[in-house]
Amino acid sequence: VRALKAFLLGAVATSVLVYTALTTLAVAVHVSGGGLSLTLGGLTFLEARADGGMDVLVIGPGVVLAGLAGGSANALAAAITGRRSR
Amino acid sequence: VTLGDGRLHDRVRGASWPVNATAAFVLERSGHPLGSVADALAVAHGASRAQARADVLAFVWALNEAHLANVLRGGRRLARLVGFVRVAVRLTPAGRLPALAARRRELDTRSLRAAVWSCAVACAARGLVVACLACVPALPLSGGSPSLAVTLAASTALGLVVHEAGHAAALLRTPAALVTHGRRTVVLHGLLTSRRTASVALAGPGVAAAAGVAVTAAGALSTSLELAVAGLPLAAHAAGLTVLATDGRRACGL
Repeated sequence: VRALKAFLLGAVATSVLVYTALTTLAVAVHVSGGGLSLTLGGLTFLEARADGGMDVLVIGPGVVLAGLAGGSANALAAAITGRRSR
Repeated sequence: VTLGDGRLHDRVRGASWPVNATAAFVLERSGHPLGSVADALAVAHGASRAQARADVLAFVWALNEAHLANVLRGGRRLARLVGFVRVAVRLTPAGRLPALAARRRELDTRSLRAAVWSCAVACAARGLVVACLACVPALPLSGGSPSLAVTLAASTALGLVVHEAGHAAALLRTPAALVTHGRRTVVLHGLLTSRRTASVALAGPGVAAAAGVAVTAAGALSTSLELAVAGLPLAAHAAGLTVLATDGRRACGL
């Protein structure tokens, strides 16, 4: 249960941090009049562009993957901390 | 914190400690200048003034360290700040800072509104200091834009208040107090069930992070860079959900 809780909390924390950072970056790029596409190995994290007079902001599945990675790291850290405190 | 039946009672923590006659003598005079308490102790016990002063100071600092008594310094704030900086400069070679007194403020948790308001009032001075300090890194981070720097600094201070108010709100109808000690800001409470402890621990960073996401999303919808940036310091509280922070460890039962 502790591992699951740590995983969920870590996933939420990482997703929130990545989402806000990427969104702010996208707004900054948009305000400066440019476009931006952040991808890693074909996985989209962020795409901000102007499309036919409409501003398009795509927060890609990369955020979900970052969340899963953050959750796993937190669960691992919780297991190590729990073992040390015993 | 009250004195009665030869014990010191802490209503918030639901604990009490026995005190001897000398400790009771000092505690009965709380609110008086420490110098006059030490002088009275010296007269009452036939001790030297220097010894009485050393004993009283050691006892009061121990109480303050345990968040059981506030030590209020006299004089003007500016004079105190100058004095602090002077001592800090002298201690620089030792790599230490002057001892900082802890300050405990009771929180009114009888209703949600009272809990949030009393916490905001208790955090206000700390928030102002945080905002001023945050201006220093905020200016270069914001590319020299004063409006973005002020937004970042104000949001950093707001994050502190929202975080602690989240803890206070989760402690509804439970005695609680806000303690500021050096860099640390802590909401003090008694023993709770493990589930309640986890929910209180999660409420602080959770509420601040949720506010951060909402503010950033509002900034994206209105394409306002100031609003989007304002969400960053609030969202950074999400790190408090992980085991890197005390709240995260407490939520996981570590």
